[in-house]
Amino acid sequence: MRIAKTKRERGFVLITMAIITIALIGALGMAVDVGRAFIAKNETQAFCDAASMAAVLKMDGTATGIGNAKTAVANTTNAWNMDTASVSNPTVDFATSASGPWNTNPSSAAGYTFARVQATVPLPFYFAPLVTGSLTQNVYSVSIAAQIPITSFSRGLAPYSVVSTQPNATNFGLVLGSQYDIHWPNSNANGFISPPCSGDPLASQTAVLTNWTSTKGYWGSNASSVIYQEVLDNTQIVQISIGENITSILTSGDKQTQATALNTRVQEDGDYSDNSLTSYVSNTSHNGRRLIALPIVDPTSTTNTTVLGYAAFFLLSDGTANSSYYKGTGNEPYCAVYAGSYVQGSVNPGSGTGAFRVGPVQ
Amino acid sequence: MMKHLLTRGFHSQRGRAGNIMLEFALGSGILVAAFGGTFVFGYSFYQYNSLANAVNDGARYASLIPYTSTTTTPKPDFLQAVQNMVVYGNPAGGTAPVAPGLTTDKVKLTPVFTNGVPTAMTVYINGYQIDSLFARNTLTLNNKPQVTYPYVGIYSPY
Repeated sequence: MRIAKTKRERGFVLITMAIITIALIGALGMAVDVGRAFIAKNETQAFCDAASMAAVLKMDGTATGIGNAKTAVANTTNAWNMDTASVSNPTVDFATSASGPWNTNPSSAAGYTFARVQATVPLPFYFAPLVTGSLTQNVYSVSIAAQIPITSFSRGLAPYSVVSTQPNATNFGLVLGSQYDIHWPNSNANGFISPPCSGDPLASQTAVLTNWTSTKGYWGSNASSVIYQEVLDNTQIVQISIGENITSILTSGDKQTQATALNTRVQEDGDYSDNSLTSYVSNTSHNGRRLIALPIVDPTSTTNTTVLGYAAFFLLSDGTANSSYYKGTGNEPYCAVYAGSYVQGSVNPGSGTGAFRVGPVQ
Repeated sequence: MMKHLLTRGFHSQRGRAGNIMLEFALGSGILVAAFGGTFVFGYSFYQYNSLANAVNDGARYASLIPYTSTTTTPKPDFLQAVQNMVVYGNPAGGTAPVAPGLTTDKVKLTPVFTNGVPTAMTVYINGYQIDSLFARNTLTLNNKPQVTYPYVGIYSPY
């Protein structure tokens, strides 16, 4: 009887250990494969986030912008598999809203401000195949980024403004490529002492002459050091919001310092000679320093100048390192070209009017 | 006969005890190795994942804030804020790093310039050793995890 029992018990521990060992190896496999899957998911998500933002940054309402967005996605360098493998064949499509519909090649790029990037990577599994039979597991990530409207600026605007008396008109009546006063010329009882910039209509000129007496559209500091920071670093002494009345902060400023700062900004651009917006944008040396974001304002009375919205304006150059903004007595107008919408971080203007920041929305 | 049975029983019990000890020794060796391996791999992957998330947050943060240098060498306050963001999850700094032993000097930032302006920010970890307890300092991370974001902040070089 005793002998029989001994035979049954012999090997019991070994068998138990074997079973537990198999379970533990399974746990080890889970630790390795699932751990790597989590890492791969985060890595591909980082890829999609960065790629979608890079795409949106290039979108400007044109087919060229869509093409540049696709190139930006293809050039995104974030890797996966613990930074050892590049993400291959990511897909990118575009939409006018976060809910779609999504289009890989929109026939008209106008209004497209959303980009969706999707990536799938085949993660090799080392232990899971013992259970699942599959040697790889696809890890999928998606990210949607957009040009998100900015309605209030605490930093980013240059301390000038452009006048429009058409708050309900498309682009507030501004014409792409036309020159507008960002700082108006001095005036007397007979009107402006120098002709305003060519794009400003009579209604805008009348509004300025009637409602702005000593101020000319500048709303920054009068101190030289601060003016440099405002023009070159886009700092603001006050926050500006759509619908706000900025009459109280309009001032004449220090014109020579302003002009020097504007010229410095122009000279910082890789293309400081083209005065055609089209030529500038197509010049591969340009870096966006000549594009500034400005509030569009409507001077409706001597006590009310309302911010209608924002847009990007292209600073002019005389093609040399000399001043193009301070001429004669300094009382002549400072002109800039209406370029479209302002997209923070982009070296190109967007389409239409408005100001946007680039960020993930989903 | 009685003596023989007693002797055989005594020997049998000693044999069983020896067998169990031998089986346990063999089994426990495998068990400890499996436990250790599970922990080492799991904890290492956990740390790497934490670092990847922290680096991603740091790169994203660097891509948003005003860049204050005219060159690819960032100003000290900019660099410090990004390093703090990676290590502590807070640009102002902190006391508890996201991974054991991670210090700001192991967080590197490479701004990418195109035509004289910043266009991307790359953040990565360099010289960090993953502490896996059972396999101390066996995995050193150089240039990884690494994340690059397009720069979408306000260039403010003065």
